[in-house]
Amino acid sequence: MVLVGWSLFPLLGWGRADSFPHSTYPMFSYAREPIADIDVVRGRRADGSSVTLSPELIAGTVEVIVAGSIVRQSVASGTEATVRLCRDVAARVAMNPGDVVTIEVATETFDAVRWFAGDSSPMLTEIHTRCPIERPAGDRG
Amino acid sequence: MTEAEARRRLAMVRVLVCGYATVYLVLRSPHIWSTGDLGAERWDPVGVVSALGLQPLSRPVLAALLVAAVVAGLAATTGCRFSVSGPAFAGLTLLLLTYRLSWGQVLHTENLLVFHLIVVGCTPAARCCSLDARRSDRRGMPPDRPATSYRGALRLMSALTALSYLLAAVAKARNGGLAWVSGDVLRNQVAYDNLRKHLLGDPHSPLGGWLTRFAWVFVAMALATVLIEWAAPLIGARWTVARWWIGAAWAFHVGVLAVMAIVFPYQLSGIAYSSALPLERWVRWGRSATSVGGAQARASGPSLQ
Repeated sequence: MVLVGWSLFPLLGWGRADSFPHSTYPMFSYAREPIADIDVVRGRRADGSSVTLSPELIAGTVEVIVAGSIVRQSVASGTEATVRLCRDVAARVAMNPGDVVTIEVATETFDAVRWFAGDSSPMLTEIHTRCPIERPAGDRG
Repeated sequence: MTEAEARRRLAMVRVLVCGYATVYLVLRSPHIWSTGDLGAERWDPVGVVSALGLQPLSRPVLAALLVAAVVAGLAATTGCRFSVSGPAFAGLTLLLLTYRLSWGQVLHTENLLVFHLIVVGCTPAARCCSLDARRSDRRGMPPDRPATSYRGALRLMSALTALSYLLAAVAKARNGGLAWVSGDVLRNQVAYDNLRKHLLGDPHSPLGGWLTRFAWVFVAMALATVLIEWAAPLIGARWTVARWWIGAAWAFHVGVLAVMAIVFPYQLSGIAYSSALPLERWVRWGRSATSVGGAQARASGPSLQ
């Protein structure tokens, strides 16, 4: 009975609704419009083309949900947090070989349904900050 | 189901659930360990970690807890000193998985596993198929009369399984309302989730993305989801009915994996439903089939000796 009560905690409005192991399981329950703002961190090559970075490079974690949450919270926290995130990512990218020269933290607006129909360009892009990759001298070229 | 059958089934459920959780903890340990690389500003304790007022743990303490959990898990799976190892394993798993989720993002794939571990760990699940039972047999000791009935423990596990689906159904009704059943909410969620994963460099489901072109598919998926979630109490019905719900719930998780690239490993393994599966009968059939097959082979086959 205690366990059943524990699992019903959030439903009764006691404590945090989405906790562990008790939860209201709110994932994917809210109405969502197809047009969504997505906070992203991406790399740019010298020719301007973009590079998708892995969760490890973005946030030092293999878990995409955690990486996404870190990016979202940094953007929501303002310029200082966004610049710090950008520099952290740049430092991680610099330790790996590659041709990325700049990191961008941005909020991009997409129609997610149309994206999968082939329209892959963002409707709107707001760049919060950019920072250069500073590779050790021997790694250049 | 007789008490003797329930005793055997509960023991098999113990082996499955504790064995699964031990392997799972070993596989998750790099993720738990990597929390040491996350900044202190990410610390957002939940559940028992919050209730105990814990702060981020040092590496040696985390390592000690992980080792202790795996040792307790092996002992609980084999039914060794289960009165200690069962509750200890449940408690350590609860602590470690809650700690892992106390860094700013709560996931929902481990909740049911932890609830089941608590039930298994706190009930007489090692009265057979265990090292404890073998030790008692050797000493000729009669088994203690359990304080909790075996059937009660199994029913509680099934009730917790049903509740996890019902709570998800209530959340959809509360937060999404009727719009959720229209399919639009699900279609947008699938498109958004897959796109977000793609932009963050994580594997996404190309199938889910492609399916968003067909709105009607998501009407069917939303209806099926809601139906399966609200019908979850059927897991407690007799086997001829419960098996249909279990099959549908398992297929639902296969669908989630295919369309959203989200893995619910405990449910996909089938072990999440083991309390309602007639394991003891399957083992009996398996044994009799093996023994009949073996006897026939011995009777008809050429002897190599």
